[in-house]
Amino acid sequence: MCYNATDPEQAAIDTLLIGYGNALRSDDGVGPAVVELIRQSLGEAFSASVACRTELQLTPELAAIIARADRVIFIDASVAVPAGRVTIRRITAQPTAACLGHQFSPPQILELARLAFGGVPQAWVVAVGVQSLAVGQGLTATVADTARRLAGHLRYHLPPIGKPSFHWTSRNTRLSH
Amino acid sequence: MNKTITIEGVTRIEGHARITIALDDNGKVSDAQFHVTQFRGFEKFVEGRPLTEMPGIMARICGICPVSHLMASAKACDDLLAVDIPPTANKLRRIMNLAQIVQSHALSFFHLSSPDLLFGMDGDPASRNIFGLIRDHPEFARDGILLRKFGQDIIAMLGEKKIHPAWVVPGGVNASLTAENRDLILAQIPAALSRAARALEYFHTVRDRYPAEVDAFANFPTLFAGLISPAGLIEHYDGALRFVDENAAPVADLTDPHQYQSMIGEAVEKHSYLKSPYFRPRGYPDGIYRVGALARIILAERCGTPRADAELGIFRTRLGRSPQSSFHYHWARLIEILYGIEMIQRLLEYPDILNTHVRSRARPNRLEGVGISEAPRGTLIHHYRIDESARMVWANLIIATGNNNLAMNRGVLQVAQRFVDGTHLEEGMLNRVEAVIRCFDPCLSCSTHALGQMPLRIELRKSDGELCDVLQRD
Repeated sequence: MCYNATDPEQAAIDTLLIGYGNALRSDDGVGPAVVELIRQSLGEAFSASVACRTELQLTPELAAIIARADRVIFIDASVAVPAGRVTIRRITAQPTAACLGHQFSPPQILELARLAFGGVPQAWVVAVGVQSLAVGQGLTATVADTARRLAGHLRYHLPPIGKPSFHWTSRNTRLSH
Repeated sequence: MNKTITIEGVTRIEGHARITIALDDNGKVSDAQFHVTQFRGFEKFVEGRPLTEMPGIMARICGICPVSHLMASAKACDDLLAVDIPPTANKLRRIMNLAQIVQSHALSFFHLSSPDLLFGMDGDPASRNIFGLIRDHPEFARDGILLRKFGQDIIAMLGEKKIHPAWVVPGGVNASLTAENRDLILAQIPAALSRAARALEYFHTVRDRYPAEVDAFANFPTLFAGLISPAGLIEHYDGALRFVDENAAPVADLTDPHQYQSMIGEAVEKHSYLKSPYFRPRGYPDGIYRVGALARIILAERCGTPRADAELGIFRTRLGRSPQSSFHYHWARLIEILYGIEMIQRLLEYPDILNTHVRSRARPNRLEGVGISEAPRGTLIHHYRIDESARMVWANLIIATGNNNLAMNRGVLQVAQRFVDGTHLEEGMLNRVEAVIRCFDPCLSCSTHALGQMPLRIELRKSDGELCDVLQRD
């Protein structure tokens, strides 16, 4: 389930996790899978400070919730990253008048959040290298293992209420066993 | 020497299309065509699949309006099962369908068409997009985003996800509404109504700026078609399919969906993958008709909700009962947004809305079923045949946008003849050719959607291929 019906419209969010991709195209669903793993592991202490969203794509209305967050982590599948590897990249809002698909890119949706709602969260893109984008449900073994370890890694860095938030620098890393 | 202008990649519409404009020796427009350049094939590749899978598969036709296909498909399946769905399921389906219409109209009006209306058809293309809109009209743009969010949130609350929810099933829906989610939706109604009202206020400040466009944007007499309630009210889920003439006088009512082919024929043209439905009694192409928001508010006596009826009164005082220009689709969409919000509230306030009996179960009792509903863009028909083992053997779909194909083609020609100077191309004149298509808000691929500026290259060539002029937008 991707919709948190009890999420108050105006409440501030410490960390917003957005996993996006098509779960019917194998490893393309790794972003939603990682966020779902994190959601299942979160306890009461995190419920008010962390919001989890799983999406098929980044649509304009996400700008409203992004603007309420202090930091946003986009988790996406990538064919530019070797299977099983993860890159973490800091991003900022980017204005663009160029080609806009129905799926906004993370910098574009950040710009929408800035212009429309005045929110300027820190943001990262976590890209997971995929092995297969074939039609079908379920991750390949390699990517499923990466998803599990990535979820644990991100979960470790999520701040409980009142605790200082994490800070990441850009890096390209293979998660260690 | 004859020349052809090609607009390759029509922008700010849902899907992929091309427009060609033929010029005569004097540089005057002699013909124009709207080509839909993608092929879908759902009617063929569902063959052999069990009918229970149909709503889920057919929803994949579209990423913007999957709910519309869910509705028509589920209604065709209800017909195959020969069941009446529980009253609460009927109301819940209606709520989701209206939420879809609100969010889709919001995307069409605010994101795709407003840049033209607020910056002008000749405005700087660099600003004439959603980001330019936000910079110059932030509250307006914010209202657009939040109105779309209102519709998407309702779809997600009911169906657990906002794109391709699996909640609508043959016989009803697969989960009832919780009191918590009902109250959450109801709590959002006042803000949504305010946003819709502000959008109308904005629209009234710009709608009179475009008399030339009103005059030339698919402004010709046609039939109009859409669902209508027994009381003559606007309808999006059930009721008779009514055809009215250019004066809004009823021409025909289709009360038995199985007989739709007696009223609608489907022609095929070589230049497009989009079929060209027509009103069969008048033949092809004289049976041209239009569907969608404008058609619905023309053929209905009234909406049946107070705010929408008040705005419809202003619309009719200003434009008459049956304005023929497709420019007025924009206003009609805003009226339907208002209506959708009001009707969602009304449906949620029914005492039985939380009833948990929301699905009728049966084996197939017919081998042929038809479902008709109203998508944001107009009347949508799903027609299925199954074998004794309940597997699909044949399907025919009449997609909402297809119903408008003849009118879009004539509209492109009308606009091109009015605005395009074949001796010298300017971005604004070609933007108008695209803008008439945007009035219809076509959903062509039902999966690939473009907003803002797509790469566009328009070439003006002589019939021998010599390049005369090029307009390039990157």
